[in-house]
Amino acid sequence: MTVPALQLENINKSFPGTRALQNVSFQAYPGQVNALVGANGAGKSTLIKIVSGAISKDSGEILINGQKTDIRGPAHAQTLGISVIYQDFSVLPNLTIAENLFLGREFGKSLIINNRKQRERAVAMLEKVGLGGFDPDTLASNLSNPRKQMLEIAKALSLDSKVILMDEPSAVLTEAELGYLYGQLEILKEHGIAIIFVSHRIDEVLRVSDTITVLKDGRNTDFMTKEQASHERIVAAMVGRSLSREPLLAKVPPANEPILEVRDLHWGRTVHGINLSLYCGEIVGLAGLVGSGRTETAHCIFGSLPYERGEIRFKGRKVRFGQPKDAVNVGIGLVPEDRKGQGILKDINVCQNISLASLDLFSRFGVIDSKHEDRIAKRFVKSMKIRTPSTKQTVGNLSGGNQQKVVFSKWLSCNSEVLILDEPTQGIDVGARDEIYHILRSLASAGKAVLVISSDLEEVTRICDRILVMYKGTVVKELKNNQATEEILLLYSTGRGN
Amino acid sequence: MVSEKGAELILNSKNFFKRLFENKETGVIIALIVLIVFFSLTAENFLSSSNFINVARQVSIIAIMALGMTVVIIAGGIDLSVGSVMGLSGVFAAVLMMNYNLPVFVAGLGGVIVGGVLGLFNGTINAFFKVPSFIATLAMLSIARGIALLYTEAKPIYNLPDSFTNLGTGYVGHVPIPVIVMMLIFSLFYFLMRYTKIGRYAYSIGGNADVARLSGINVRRYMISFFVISGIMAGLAGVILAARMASGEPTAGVGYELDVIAAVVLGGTSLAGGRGSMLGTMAGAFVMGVLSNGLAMLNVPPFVQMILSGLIILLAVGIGMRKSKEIVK
Repeated sequence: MTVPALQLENINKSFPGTRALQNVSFQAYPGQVNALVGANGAGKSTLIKIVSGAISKDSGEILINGQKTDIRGPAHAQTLGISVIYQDFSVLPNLTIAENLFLGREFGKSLIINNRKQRERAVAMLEKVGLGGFDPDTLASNLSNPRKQMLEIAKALSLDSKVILMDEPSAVLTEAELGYLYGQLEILKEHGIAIIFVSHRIDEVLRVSDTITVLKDGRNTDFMTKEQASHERIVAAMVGRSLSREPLLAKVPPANEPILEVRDLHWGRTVHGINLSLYCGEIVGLAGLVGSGRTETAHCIFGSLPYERGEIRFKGRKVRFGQPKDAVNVGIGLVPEDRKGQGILKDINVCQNISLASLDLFSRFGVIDSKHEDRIAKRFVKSMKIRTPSTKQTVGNLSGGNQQKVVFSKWLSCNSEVLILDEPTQGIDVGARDEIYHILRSLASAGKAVLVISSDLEEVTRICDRILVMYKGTVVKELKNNQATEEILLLYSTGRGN
Repeated sequence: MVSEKGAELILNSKNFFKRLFENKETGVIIALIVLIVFFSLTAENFLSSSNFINVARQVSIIAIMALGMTVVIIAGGIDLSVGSVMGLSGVFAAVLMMNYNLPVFVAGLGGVIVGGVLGLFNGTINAFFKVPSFIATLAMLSIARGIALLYTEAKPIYNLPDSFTNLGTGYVGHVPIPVIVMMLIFSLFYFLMRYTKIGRYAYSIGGNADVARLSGINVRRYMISFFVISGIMAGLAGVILAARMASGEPTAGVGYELDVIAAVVLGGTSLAGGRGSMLGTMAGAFVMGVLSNGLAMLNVPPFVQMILSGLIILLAVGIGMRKSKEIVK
């Protein structure tokens, strides 16, 4: 094999209380996609920070093109030819494409920027990444996520980077937009760039990677080339055991009477006459593409969006929730898609997050019985297997999977009977994901009605007893689990069924 | 060889210090102790019970307002109108007393209620018309002051009865009544923020209003009630100030909002919302009081005092910011 463009040898890094990396090695070869895979907390982010120069290693060696180097800071990393593209892009929305591209190194000798020259260079860079035809004066805020990503890649190329690290690049893209990303990877490979591709989506890693390095608990657990790699091998290295992919379905039929019925629901231009029924004891999937109106449907039911037309019945009675409080009071819980923005309070501890929706249950005259509160929280930490040092831990310090379990606990502690989950495992690694599936199934078995919105077709076919496929604001197809395959689901969710 | 129990004790004490330094109030409390020690050593008459009582009385009015302000700031808002609200409340109480001959107690209560009503207005504008609290209360700052000046034709209302001024100048034992009021309010708010739903919801809404709303909290109603609380405290402070000056001054409390916010921020409460404490605010108010008292005793010229106060606020908040960054990392 050729000399790696970037090579890390026996890197160690400790933080107070934890050894984040122990003798970790990693190579990135030019013209290849080098995947870095691991569950949350495996040490991926620490490694990324070391490569980007954000933090320094404790010991170990870094070699660039075979030459021993030290990365002394983010700016130094850039001069060494390393660019990092973060999940939440560093594109400034209020600047134009050209201004973004040359931010901090504007053309022109004095204070005045040579806009004409900058624009010309921008056009050339944009063509390289397939954004030709875009006016460099377009405001970056007008670009879609995949286009923003392309802009970042163009910026990296214009910096003459030899190593481009992409942190979970697919996390912000929809299924349909992934094509753009894969195209970009090909272009970068042609340019001889060493790509470091950080991800925990195994199928995607298998699809795009040439080499795969797996980390677990801060150590290397496996390295494989494209030819050697398989789904099972990656999972085994990530979680230390193999996971079943068998469907997890209801063993008994659901209740006879629906607990929640939605008839002909309309909201704005995204929800067009939704009909659905939920029964206690089952998990129903709401599949479809991003933008098909699934999230909006959930928020209409929950009272956080005001629907214009239609009817919602809860236990046979007609209801209309003016605000989420009303839905919560009858026993509906919503686990929102945007966990950090809408699900958890990151500065507040585990116990207080869990009790947020149910304080009425353990307070008298507005005074909280904190012993009772903590007892309930401890019960959920145990039953949900939330990995936290104590119930007093700040939720922002937990991993994504554990944060999500805290959100579940919040709704279970107020005895919700209907749970609506919007992309419950987004950004959560395989191990924790599997635990969440088992939790959801046990909730359904305990008599809850569960509605799961998911873009992950594998997830839908694994845990949902019934699947509703949405397309352009309506439910176009209902399938039993045994009728659903990923192909059929994709067909209906793109409007090509029937 | 350390016994198991001994090892545990050592560990616990380590945790104790770690937790102590993670607490955002620690910085301001240390600053307070440093200032007290410094002035005790340099200013001759600083270290005496009569001086401490004096400082506490000076601090009490700002502290009462700052406690109410803390609730609003923790919930992610701000109340710039407190100075004007206190002015109008004092005038209103004086008017009820002098022009309408209402009993002193009723008139005082009337002043406090005016504060609450103005707070209700602030909160409603903020919650229902989605006007940012900075703007809504900035407008109220102007409106309330204008009403006070208009009604009194900018003339103070003098000669308030002794039974009223007692509230500002009287003592119970050796302790001034305003200090007692401040301690009662502090205890109440300390309890409110730690052990009640309204306190918990203030932290939650300030942490992330979306999460709070989607957890079934009536965010608008609570936001309004936080502004009412702040208004009531400003009203109470206004009535006490009028009692101390024995007159309803339409210009009372001009610029107080800045001292109040400074005390809150010094106490480690985050202007971004979601974090802060009543203990910190009290310490913050006392830092400012001790500072001005000590500097005056050292015969530092008043204008130099202003510069030094500003620098010390920068220093204290700067240290707090650095610490919180380290925790984030």
